[in-house]
Amino acid sequence: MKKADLKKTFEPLTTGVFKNNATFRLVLGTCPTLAVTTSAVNGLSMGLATLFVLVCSNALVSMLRNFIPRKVRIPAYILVIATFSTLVEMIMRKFLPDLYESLGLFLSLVVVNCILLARAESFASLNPVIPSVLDGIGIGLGFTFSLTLLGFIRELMGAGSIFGYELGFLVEAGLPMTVFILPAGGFMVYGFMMVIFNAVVKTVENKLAARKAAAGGDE
Amino acid sequence: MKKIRSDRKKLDPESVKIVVSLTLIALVAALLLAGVNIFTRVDEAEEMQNAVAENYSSPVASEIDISGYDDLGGTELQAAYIAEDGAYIFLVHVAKGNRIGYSADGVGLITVIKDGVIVKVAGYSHSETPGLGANAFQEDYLMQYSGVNVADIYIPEDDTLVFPDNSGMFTPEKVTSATYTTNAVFAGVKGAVKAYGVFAEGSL
Repeated sequence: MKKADLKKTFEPLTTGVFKNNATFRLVLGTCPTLAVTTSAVNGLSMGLATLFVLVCSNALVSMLRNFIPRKVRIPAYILVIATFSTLVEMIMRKFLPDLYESLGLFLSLVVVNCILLARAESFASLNPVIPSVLDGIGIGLGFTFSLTLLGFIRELMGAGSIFGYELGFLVEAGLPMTVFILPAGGFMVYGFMMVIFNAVVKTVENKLAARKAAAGGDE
Repeated sequence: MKKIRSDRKKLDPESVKIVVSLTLIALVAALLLAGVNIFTRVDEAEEMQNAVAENYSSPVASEIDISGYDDLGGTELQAAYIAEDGAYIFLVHVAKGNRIGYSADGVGLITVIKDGVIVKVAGYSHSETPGLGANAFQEDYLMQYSGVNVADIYIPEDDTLVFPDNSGMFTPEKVTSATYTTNAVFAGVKGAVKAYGVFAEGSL
């Protein structure tokens, strides 16, 4: 495989995390983002659950793309997504009951997460299996990263703990502010992080473009 | 006329494809989920007994038949046991209601009552917000119920839970910014106290 082809194949993996980050750039899946990011563990586990469903559903939708009639593609995709989402729910209930309780209703609602349907419709149904899986991994990792980051910040500032471990000095100093684990705090942190993330990605993109232009000029 | 009739009898290939494709996907999905269900099935009765064992030292001697029991509004008695030391153990689920609970799944509470006095209250299932509503399930908060006499807990005659109950009887301290979760915990305790009245005292 040529270097250019290889780069093109793996492109969805990196763009999913940064350029097409579902949470901060595409603003998809906002409901679970705000609801479950009250702690870093919740954010991480919801992200990983979505990643699993996304990779499996993208793979299957891509495999069946020539078999599913165009007119009924949406119910077919929903059926595929619902199957994997129920699978995650069953496994989590059996082996991770505390986490299952903690994520509650939002685990069942992975099935209606618009990221999943959006990737099935706009990518997996048009591309072969490997790029679709890589797209699922990229977008899923981006979503997991965003949720964990939001959960980390909200938990630290709202409860004075990190991944469930209480930072005694923060609590004793009275620094944690409950508002950060309330919905209002969720919107605030989400907004601030969106600004920072977009500024960083744009700066990096500009630098890369400038470097590319300079390299082109040298030639 | 004849030609039109013969056209009507033909099956539309596209419609057939739609039916076949959706049926096949649904069938494969059903088989996959059924297979996974075999390995991940959760025995709820066993789960509840484990929750009891984790929260009360005296082993369970017998299970109480709760069929036909009339629940306190908004609560559901899921199981009841008698421990070897004579204590009554009640597992009550409280559904989200008006000023009761915050998460849609509701909360589950274990209440142990012995000789008309609450011995222990513990949560066995909830998805309340960590660092906020979840604080109402911490041991140091639930300790306030220990030693409370069941006669001091107000149970409404019409079985309708209202918070605050303005009864002038026992009222628990609230968790800051989690009043609804505090109410849900209290509702679970009230549900257990009502059940104790029925099964242990036969007074209600």
